[in-house]
Amino acid sequence: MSAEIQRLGEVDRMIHEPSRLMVVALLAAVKEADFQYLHQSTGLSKGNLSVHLSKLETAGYVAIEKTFRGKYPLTICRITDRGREVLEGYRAIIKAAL
Amino acid sequence: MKDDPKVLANRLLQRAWNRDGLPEIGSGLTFLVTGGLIYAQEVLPRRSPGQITAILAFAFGLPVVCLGLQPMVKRVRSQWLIQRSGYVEHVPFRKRNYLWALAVMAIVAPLVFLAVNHEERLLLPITGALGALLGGLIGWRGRMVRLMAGGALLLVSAVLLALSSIPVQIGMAVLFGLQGLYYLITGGVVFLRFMHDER
Repeated sequence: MSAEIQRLGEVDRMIHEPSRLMVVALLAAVKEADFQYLHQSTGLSKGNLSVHLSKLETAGYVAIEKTFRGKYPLTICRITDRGREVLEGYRAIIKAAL
Repeated sequence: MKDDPKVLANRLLQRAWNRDGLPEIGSGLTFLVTGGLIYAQEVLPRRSPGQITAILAFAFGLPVVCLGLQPMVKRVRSQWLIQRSGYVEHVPFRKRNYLWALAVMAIVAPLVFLAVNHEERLLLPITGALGALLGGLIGWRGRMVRLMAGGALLLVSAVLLALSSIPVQIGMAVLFGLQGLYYLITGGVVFLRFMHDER
């Protein structure tokens, strides 16, 4: 077994889960996005998305801020530096292995 | 997961951008206006106020409309559709991408000029091919069949118009008109579906 394949065991399981990977990848490609945008873009149910965002926030990969735009409440999500770092590491491992 | 997360994210962003049909409606209207202005330049009496207006609008108005389309779509969304489409702040367009676009234009524009100078009717298939390439690429990036079909329709209609006996400028007006109509219809249908989506 080559070293690249063996490194697959090191992937971060928090973002290896497809739904969370989708959320983190999407947040890495934008400055910030709100809950509704993520819900629409990923196709995840609101409950599911909420659970995944909580896990990502607890892990320190995503920062969540509740605010308003006019009368409309926004739950703004941003990827943290740590989240970006972990995503890049994940990409490197997967790309090397495949 | 077999896709690179970056590729996956770009696909999701492209799909999100086209989800409500507004960019297509905007493009459709722009294409229709373009077709109308080309037609007006061709059929109105030479140097009449109407023809001069059409020429000026084509030369100066259209570029402004094209550049303003994206900000306009964003503004409409944030003003009236934010509860449905959600809020997103994109990263600014990178300078490297502008340079790429300029480099491609610097190569393609002289080639098109030379070809059209050699045979004017080539303007139709060349426009069709470039439009089809652009539509195909955007459609493929977001895996959106309707955009790829739009590109194919543009190419087929351009070739058919080039083979017909219609004058080139009228052919261009018909080409843009057809494309505008197509995007207006697909964009309209997508918009209506988006507004009725209860998700």
